Amino acid sequence: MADASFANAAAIPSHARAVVIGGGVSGCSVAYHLAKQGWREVVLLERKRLTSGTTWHAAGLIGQLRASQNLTRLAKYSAELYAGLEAETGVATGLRRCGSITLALTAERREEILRQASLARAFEVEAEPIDHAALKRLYPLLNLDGVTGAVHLPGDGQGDPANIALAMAKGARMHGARVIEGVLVDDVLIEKGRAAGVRWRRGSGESLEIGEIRADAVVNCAGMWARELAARSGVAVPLHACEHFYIVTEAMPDLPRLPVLRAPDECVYFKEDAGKMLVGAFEPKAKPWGADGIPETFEFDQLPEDFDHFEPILEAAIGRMPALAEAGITPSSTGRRASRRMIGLILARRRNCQAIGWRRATIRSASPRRAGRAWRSPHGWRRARRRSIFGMWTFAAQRAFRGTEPICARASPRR
Amino acid sequence: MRARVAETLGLLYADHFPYRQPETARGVRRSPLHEALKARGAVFGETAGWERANWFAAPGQVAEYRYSWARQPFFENIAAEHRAIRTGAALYDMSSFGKIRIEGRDAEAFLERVCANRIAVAPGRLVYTQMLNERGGIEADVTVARLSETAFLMVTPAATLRRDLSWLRRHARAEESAALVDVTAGEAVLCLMGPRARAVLAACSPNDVSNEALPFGAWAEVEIGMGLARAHRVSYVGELGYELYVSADQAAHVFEAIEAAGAADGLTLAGLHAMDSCRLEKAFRHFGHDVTDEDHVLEAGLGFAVKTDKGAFVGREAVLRKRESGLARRLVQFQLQDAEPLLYHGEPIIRDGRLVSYLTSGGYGHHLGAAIGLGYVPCEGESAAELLASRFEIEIAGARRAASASLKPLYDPSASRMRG
Repeated sequence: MADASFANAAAIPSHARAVVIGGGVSGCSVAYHLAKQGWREVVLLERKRLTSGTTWHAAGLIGQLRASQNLTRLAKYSAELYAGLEAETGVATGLRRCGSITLALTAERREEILRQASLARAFEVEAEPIDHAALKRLYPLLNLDGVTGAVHLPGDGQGDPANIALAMAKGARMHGARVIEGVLVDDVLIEKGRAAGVRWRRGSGESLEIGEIRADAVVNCAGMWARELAARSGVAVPLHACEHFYIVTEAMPDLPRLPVLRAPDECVYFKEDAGKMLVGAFEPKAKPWGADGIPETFEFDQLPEDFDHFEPILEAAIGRMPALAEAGITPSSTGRRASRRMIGLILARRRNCQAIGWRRATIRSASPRRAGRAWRSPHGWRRARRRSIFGMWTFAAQRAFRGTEPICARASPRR
Repeated sequence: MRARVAETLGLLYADHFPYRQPETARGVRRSPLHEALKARGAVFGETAGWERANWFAAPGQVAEYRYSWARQPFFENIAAEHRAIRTGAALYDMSSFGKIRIEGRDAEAFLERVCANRIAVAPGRLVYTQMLNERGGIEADVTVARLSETAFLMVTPAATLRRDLSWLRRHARAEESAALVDVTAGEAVLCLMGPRARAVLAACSPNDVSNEALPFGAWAEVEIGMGLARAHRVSYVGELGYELYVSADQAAHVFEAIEAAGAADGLTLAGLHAMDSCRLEKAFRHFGHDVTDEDHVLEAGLGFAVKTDKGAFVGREAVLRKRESGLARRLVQFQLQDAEPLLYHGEPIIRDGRLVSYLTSGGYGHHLGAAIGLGYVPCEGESAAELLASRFEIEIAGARRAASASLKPLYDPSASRMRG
């Protein structure tokens, strides 16, 4: 359905074949893949600026092994896609095939990671158990105390999540999609039980504009807003933001290039990037965030510190990588904290000091590892949703990413 | 959801033990028998919000999960429950079954179109069937009871209810007169299974429950104690048995009546772990593991439930095409030769020294005496005999273990026990 308004680059079109809601890594990926598959009149609407929700400070770990074969295929595809995006779009994605290592610190965990290595081979992902000598060679800074086993996945990597999303947004535009920032979707239009478009809003006060885009398909990629948006149409999307705790050190002298390291028994991961270390936590009891609503102004926001929550994990991290104790901490990118502090010092003085523990709100499914999936395999996506780690009852979400179908058909509202 | 999400993030790095149960957001959906089973030592797991008795602790034993990759503390409990199902009589609670009532003038025509098996049977009959997609993939694995000329009851796993409702609604035509209603909560389901099941039922019911009066694949209304139940002659464990559908308000009474009547026959309470180990021995498929929307019904070995001669239905052309082209893979059942190692699912299948696939489900066959697994093996252009003539191993945590392979169920291949 050709629409004259689509040709006018300055205006928001009144009709589209697909409207993608949300300019994070998921939305950019959907727009990119739809446009690349030849869909005409694809529009992506982002409420503020691209990546400003949770994508911009995702950790950027690009693992290949997933719980199912389809998810693993998609993760592998993602890594390949990111590797080629720079050549295609001119935007650097920071992708580096640095490999990853998972450590076991108990006999039970050793059994688990060895079983995982077997599973990885079944899914055609290279994965090998390694001994202490190989571990020391791959990761010289590591303290090997208590290590009962380790598995190396040489094909894993890391990347820059925001640039990956921006590269896909650019790619989407190159293939004819419209990517529009600063436009908030208030509601999905519903006709005869099916999504028929969106109602949008731009600006406020005197400059407030409102309008509608009629669309054949609407894709909810609203990330941590997805649940709230879908609920307005009576659809349950079981996604919820949690706080994520991590620190970035200042440049550490003589830091070699390192693979990604995970020590799940200590709830911590390590990522080396440009001579700095990123240390992040997956703590046993996480802190949900935004249950009572997300501030209207949220844009590249960071959350207040909670050092008590992060401290035990940081302490374990320093034990695992003693060089961290001497490292300075980089201020957050918004520059709220500019003072240079030693991690070890902060641990000692924590009662008097509220300095560290930059957190972010994050949603796993918006992480770059899951980008690129929606189009490639809707069925795989459905499986992902079924097992979604944020799902309590995830069934109603099964339709969310089927691409060719509107998500707001009222066929299965949750009771 | 807020409570659960605090746990799920941590689970990413937690030990991913087999049978690990969530700790948050529990107790949301409970069977009418929940308290009665709890008082008898039930240890509950959660599926789709349902609390379900997964195993029963012995007197003096701590009634909670303790996890490991090796034999877990409840391994022997499952073994004893499994034994009761195979040699005596056992009762387990499947009230969490999703139950969809489909009723109306066009209910039969509608179901004939979405189901691969023949649904146009006499009232009083049960039909095991799949709902297929246009690729022949399995969208649902269900049992349909014909309640009357115009009413049917579709029974589906707890976790797939919403999915199946959605699938059915999307395939309903505006001009068809058929109502789809979720009646899950209305009835409890007590599964009375094992060679002594008939004796137990006969001891608490005045009705004739003989094989002649109530054969396999049929249902009948029976009195139990002072209550009423619909007894379905089906089994997911491969034994003589009855799924007893009881109005929720009478469930506790019927349970007590069966328990009292069963004492003489050694009736044992069992959990869903034992049900799962029994179904693995019988090679019954589990939706979500062994059969999914990407698995062709013929390659899943379920062609016996597909009736292409009945006329048009969703997926029929894909079935005919596959019959023409031959199977690209087959679902094979494996039994480890060593009794010690354990299978959970995801373990690689090694055929003649080469990694070819992986297990879609695994568990311990307490009756067969070793771990059992199911998994697809690629076999394009090969006969079943050629496939089985290979040497198979299963890789567990890097070690290869010899396994025997079978296309027929390792337990009771003739299915005579279930029909007895």
